[in-house]
Amino acid sequence: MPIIVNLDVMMAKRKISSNDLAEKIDITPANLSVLKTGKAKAVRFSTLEKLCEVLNCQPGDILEYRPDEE
Amino acid sequence: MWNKDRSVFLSLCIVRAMYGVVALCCGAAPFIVRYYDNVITATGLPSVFLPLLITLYCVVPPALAALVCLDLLLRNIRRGEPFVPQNVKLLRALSYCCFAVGIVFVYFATLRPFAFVIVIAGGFFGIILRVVKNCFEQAVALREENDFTI
Repeated sequence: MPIIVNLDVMMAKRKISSNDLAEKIDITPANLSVLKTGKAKAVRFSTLEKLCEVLNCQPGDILEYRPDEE
Repeated sequence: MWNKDRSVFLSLCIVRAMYGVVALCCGAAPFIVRYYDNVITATGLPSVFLPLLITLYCVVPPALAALVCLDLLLRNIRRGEPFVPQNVKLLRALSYCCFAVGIVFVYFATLRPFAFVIVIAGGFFGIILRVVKNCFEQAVALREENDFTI
């Protein structure tokens, strides 16, 4: 998929653990793992809003568009 | 009180009973076909004992395969897993079983044209099941998308 989730980069910058982030944005650690590993098919605006709020960043800092290389 | 679980259970019971019916038919087929043949030949038509018997025995494998597929499908539904890739495969196999029954009856239908009803019914059920399979395929994709929406 050409949408890359750079959540782990932002988490490292903010020095926050997966469990802490999952708790703060009110999702399960398993779902956060799905998001981090790029297995997610979609992200709800409400989840994105909480992520941006907790990580103090913009959606573009978490999501990146990189076209598939043929 | 009638509910969804009882409906699935009843379907499962009917499918299990059908195993017995198929086994019974296998044993009684020569006698039933002989009786039918006697009635038919009495009207002056030629005997079709052997072609009909062979046709009926050829129908047994797809019929049993269809019953196994239905059994597994109902078990998955009972477990609360209707939209899983396995059910799509089972529905596809079921449609092939229906087509197979239709094809098996083609030769007999050339001897007794009324059997074309079975050929057409087999094809028709096969097509209906393929459409249901396509619906299930979409449902599985939607479920996966929903499961992976965070």
